[in-house]
Amino acid sequence: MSATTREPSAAPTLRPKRTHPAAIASAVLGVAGLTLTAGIASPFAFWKGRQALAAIEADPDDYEGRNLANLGRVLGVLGTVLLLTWLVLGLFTDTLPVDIARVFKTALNQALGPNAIVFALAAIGLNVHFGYTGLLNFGQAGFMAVGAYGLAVSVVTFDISFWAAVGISLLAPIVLAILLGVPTLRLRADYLAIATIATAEILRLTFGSVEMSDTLGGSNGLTGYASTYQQLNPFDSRLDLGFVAFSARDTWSVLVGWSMVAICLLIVWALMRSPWGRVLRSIREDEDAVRSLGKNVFAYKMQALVLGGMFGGLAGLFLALKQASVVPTDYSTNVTFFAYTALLIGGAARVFGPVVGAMIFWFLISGLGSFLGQATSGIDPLVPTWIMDNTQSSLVRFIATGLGLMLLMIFRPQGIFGDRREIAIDER
Amino acid sequence: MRLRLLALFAAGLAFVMMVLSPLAALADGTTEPTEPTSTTSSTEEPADETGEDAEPVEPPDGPYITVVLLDSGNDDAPIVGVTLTVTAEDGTEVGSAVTNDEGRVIIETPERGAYEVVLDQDTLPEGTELSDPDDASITIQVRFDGPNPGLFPIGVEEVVAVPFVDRLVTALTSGVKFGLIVALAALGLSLIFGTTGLTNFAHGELITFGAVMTYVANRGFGLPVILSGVLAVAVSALFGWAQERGLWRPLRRRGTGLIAMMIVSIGLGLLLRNSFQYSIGSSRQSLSQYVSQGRRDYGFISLADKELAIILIALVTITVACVLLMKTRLGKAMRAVSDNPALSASSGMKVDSVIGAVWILGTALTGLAGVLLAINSQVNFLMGFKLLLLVFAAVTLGGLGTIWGALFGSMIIGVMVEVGPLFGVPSSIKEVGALVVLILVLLLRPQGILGRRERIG
Repeated sequence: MSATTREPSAAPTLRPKRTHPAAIASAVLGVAGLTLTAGIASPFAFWKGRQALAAIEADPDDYEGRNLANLGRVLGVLGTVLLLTWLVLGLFTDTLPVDIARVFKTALNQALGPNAIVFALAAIGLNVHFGYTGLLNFGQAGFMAVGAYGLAVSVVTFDISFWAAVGISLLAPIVLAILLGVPTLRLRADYLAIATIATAEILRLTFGSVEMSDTLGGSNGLTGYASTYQQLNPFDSRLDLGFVAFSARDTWSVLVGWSMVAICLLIVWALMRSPWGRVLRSIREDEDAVRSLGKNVFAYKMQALVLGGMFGGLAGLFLALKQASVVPTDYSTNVTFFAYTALLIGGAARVFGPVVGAMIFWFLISGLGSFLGQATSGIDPLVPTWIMDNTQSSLVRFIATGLGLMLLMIFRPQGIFGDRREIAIDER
Repeated sequence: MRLRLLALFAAGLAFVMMVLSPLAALADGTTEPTEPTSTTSSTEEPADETGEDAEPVEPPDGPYITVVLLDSGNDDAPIVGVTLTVTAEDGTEVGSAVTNDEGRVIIETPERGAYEVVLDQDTLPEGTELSDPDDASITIQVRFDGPNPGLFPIGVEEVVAVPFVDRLVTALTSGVKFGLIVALAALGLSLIFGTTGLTNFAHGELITFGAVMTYVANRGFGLPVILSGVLAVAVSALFGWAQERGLWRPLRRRGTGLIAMMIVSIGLGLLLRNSFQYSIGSSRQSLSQYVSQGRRDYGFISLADKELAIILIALVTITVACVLLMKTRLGKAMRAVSDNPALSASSGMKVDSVIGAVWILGTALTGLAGVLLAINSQVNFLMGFKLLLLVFAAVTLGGLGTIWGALFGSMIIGVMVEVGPLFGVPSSIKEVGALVVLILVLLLRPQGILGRRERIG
């Protein structure tokens, strides 16, 4: 299709100028900085604008978009001033109705806390699927759900002992991966995406159905299975390190969770430098070439699906343990999309990518949520209610997430640490 | 050069969001007082008609609970003047009503699901008692548009039993209606997928967009519903064109891969979905007209006027769209580009402008699906996202990228979803059946029923 878009009449010496991508990025970041992200995006807008200007200056025949870059730069400066103003006012005076120290503490707590761990585990699974093997699994929430419900249903409904239930919860994602993989792994990438997203929805709807609420708990979910986990908790008081603070229960979950993340990372690191991992990566690059070398591509894909699914199930298991209840709404498709966002922020096909991505994702999401939540509450809120009320403020972070995912995919699909050549986003 | 439109697009979205939010606040203020009246008025009307028939004369459209109280100890005489209250699963009160001359109450429910009906024992007439005075409540599963009978295990008893054939006909009719709405959206998805190869995960939001625009024009600007619907379709078409020019075309020019575009569409969907919630809130909103209508009898089937209108509009639109695609030059060009873009370009077609036309047509059809859905039930920020997978299922079932396949698949999915509960599919998860079909189709015949082998890769 790209052949059709060139102008056939233009002489080769007079190639049409194109707008420098950084100029667009700068303008978009500038607008986003002044509206959605309360100034956080603005320094980057300024930086990108300068980059774009320099690039256009160096190559004026090929690029244009100077105005756009200048716009981004100006908006970036304005936004940065805004950012600095509220930072200074918030940190050193009482004039602002927003407690900046609290915003940072909330953000840091979430970035290091149990929620980030859940997403880190889910994203590690997606990294195996999408990052290393190129499988577009949009049903990670389904793997999480069977992990969580495997534990909860076994203990609550069938009265199986806790540790046996943990075993079931680890096995359930494997079964799901095999059931899902047999029909779909031979299909093209977008079919796999639709099939996996549909499976995750089937599972969520079934777990939440009224008719099966005796077994599965219905929309209220299941509770009362995690007492063994809580009894193992060696901490009996609150942990307060100054910059972060966790309750005794969360401290235990943080300890367990980050250990699980560390083990998973170790597994991924070891596997991906093995010959097996190299085959996975070559499947991502060129499936037919691998097949022609006599490898059973289907079997390798299936193994990758099972491995990543197990990490997803582990994320669900951890989520079920840390909040001591399973509710079907926790396993909606949005969870998968957020896990993808986390993975793409950190960088796909990098061992640490998903973990760093999940931490940054939660830092930004909860920081923005806390800031806007405080800015819109109280008698005389900082942001007038006709622009944004308190309920609306909790949505801005998801709007920003959507915009962020788009921009990330368009301008920097490799995320922070990734290598652009290693991302399976090209047509096949 | 058009890349800069991308930036404008983002800025425009932020702007629209800002503009919409006060509008929505305005609209919120006007909806609230009208809500409670609809339930009481619908129960009063049948009261003046003395019953010759078991069916109520003016049943509301959409799902409702009906209970008839008859005194079994007194020759099944109807019990008048008893208050019954319906509560949703989460504890919010849906409505309450007093039994009329037939001993009947009709209480509308906002959606299907489980509801608790409580009988106020203080309002029972002298000498009548429940058979179990300690248990004055029952739980009713609301499964269908139309009557959902409830049975009180008491000295007074219930008599409504709709015969199976009638229920099948009702389910089939709403299945056809639902299928036609899905078909409009599926046609849009199929056109866009066929020409650009984009699996658009933001397609559900295009449906919601049509509904939200109708709501904004109707409640925000006070226009009549029909005019709002026409406007909403026009705005949807404009939105599709802007999306294509501002986002998708620049991405194609950069040579962005299809998978990357798919992920971009997920981001766009997330952005739009939350923007809708930002502007109209998370509760269900209804339009100002045609909210509840009585059903007319047409021999076998009984339809509300608006249901008939929805079916006719959808049928006519689909026919016109198909004739356009089959007979006109532009339609031929669209099918050519869909078959082989490179060859079309080398035979002198302007592929980009054909794709632009496809986006306009596709989003207009999809927006119309949203408008009809809004008129049929209510407006909600999630309505399109909930439908997205069914639309995917319909398109995959029929064959991705084929026009007839999309129509065929939609009708099957629509009827299956609505008729399924009659044959034992748990009604709270009736969509699951369609999704299982989706996976089975991928397993057995991935190219779909009418699709061609080469599309599956």
